[in-house]
Amino acid sequence: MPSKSPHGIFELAPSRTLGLTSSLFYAACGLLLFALAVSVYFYWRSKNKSTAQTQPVLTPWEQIQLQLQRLGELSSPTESMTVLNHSLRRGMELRLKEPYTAFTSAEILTHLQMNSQFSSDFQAECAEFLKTADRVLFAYQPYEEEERVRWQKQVAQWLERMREGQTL
Amino acid sequence: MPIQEDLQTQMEAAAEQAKRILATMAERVVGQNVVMERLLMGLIGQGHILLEGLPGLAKTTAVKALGECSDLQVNRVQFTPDLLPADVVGTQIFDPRLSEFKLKKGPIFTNLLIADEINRAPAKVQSALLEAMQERQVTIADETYALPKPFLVLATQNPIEQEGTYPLPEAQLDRFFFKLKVDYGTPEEEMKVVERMASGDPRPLAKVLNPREIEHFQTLVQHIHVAENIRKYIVDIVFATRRPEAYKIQRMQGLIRVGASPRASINLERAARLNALFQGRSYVIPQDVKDIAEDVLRHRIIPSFEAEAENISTEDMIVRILAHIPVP
Repeated sequence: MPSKSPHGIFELAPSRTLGLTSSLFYAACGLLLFALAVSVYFYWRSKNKSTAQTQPVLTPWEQIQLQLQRLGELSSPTESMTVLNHSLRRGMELRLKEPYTAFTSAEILTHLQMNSQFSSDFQAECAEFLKTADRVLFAYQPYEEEERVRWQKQVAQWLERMREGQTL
Repeated sequence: MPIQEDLQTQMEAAAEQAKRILATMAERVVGQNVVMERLLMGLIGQGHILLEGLPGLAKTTAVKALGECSDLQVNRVQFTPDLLPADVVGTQIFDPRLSEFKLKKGPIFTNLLIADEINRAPAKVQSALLEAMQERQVTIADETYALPKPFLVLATQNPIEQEGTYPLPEAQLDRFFFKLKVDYGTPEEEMKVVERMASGDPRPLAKVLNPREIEHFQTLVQHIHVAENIRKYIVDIVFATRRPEAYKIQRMQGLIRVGASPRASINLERAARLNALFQGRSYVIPQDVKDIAEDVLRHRIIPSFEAEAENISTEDMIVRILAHIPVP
């Protein structure tokens, strides 16, 4: 009786030659793939680490500081005042844990009056600053260079004291 | 663009004039200062007002006082379930002597129309008011008639006794510039009311505002400066009513079924200008927006079933939104 060549999955499975060779081949492929995946993972991790090292996560106070440092690059008085105004509100928010960024100037002054942490001198100066900010931001009124330098220094000083938890 | 010096002076003069008008109205109405201020804003800003409050809170008296001191004609219509559109806008009557139809104008042909208990009238009467409110004209038997200038609908509704009422459709609610909530006054104010009523007929109010002055106020409002960042702030507030989750507003998930329409943004900007004018300022600041946001938005937000079940009012939602959106 002529022998029948093996074909079909059930007839291939018991073939001795095919079983040994193919299992060795598949095992080698699997190992190669595993090695590739491991090397890709280590490469990705090392790259991520180096990025994280070049761009450290800034604390909110450091972010404010960074914004204030970049004030000199801004030529528009409105942009410069926006940065000062927002930095001050953000600083108050961090110090007092209240949504100062959503407060209007009048609301800020009311909150400051209710808070015993703030001296009357600070309240008066802050009121003056907020009045100037409203004028510059919403009425586009002139913002003199002298005034600009004064408020930049003053706000930076206030924020520094807030960061250190000193009284104002 | 620098603010012109004379414009600022004119704004301050206008604010003084507004104070005089409000003081004159206060001779008739005790307390309700915010309501009277908003009524005057509506008159200058050409915006219809919906007043919601319990009976006896001087809603009609306040409107009448505004009409009296501004020399404007005031008509009052008591809305009832059997009211017909013709009862409000007018109709054509056949004159047998002349054998022709003559126009009989309805009470809507006035400057200030007090629509008392507007939600008691059926939908067809309410929709007849729609054209008048939006287009400031009415159509009677294929003829269109312009309404007098200024024309303002001051509608009242009662928050209780909802049986047999026809709640105003959203399209009509959106046409109201402000929805004001009229509340009880203080005991001192009520004492004053009793004293004043006991002293007999009130004396007539001085005419402190005329149509030409109203036009002058309107011109000044157009000149009030609204900065780009203020416009963005307004749009952010209105957008937050539609998609609060996009603004990461806490405790707002699923509370609003439908947010405010673009008409809300337009009216919020207009109302902020009016508020600035009343403060004698030639530019709008974020406080102006916050001051009037509730009155402009409360009727334009439709709360969800969850909000109603948790008894969270639209005012609560507006407060949460305002406490979250950063000011410019």
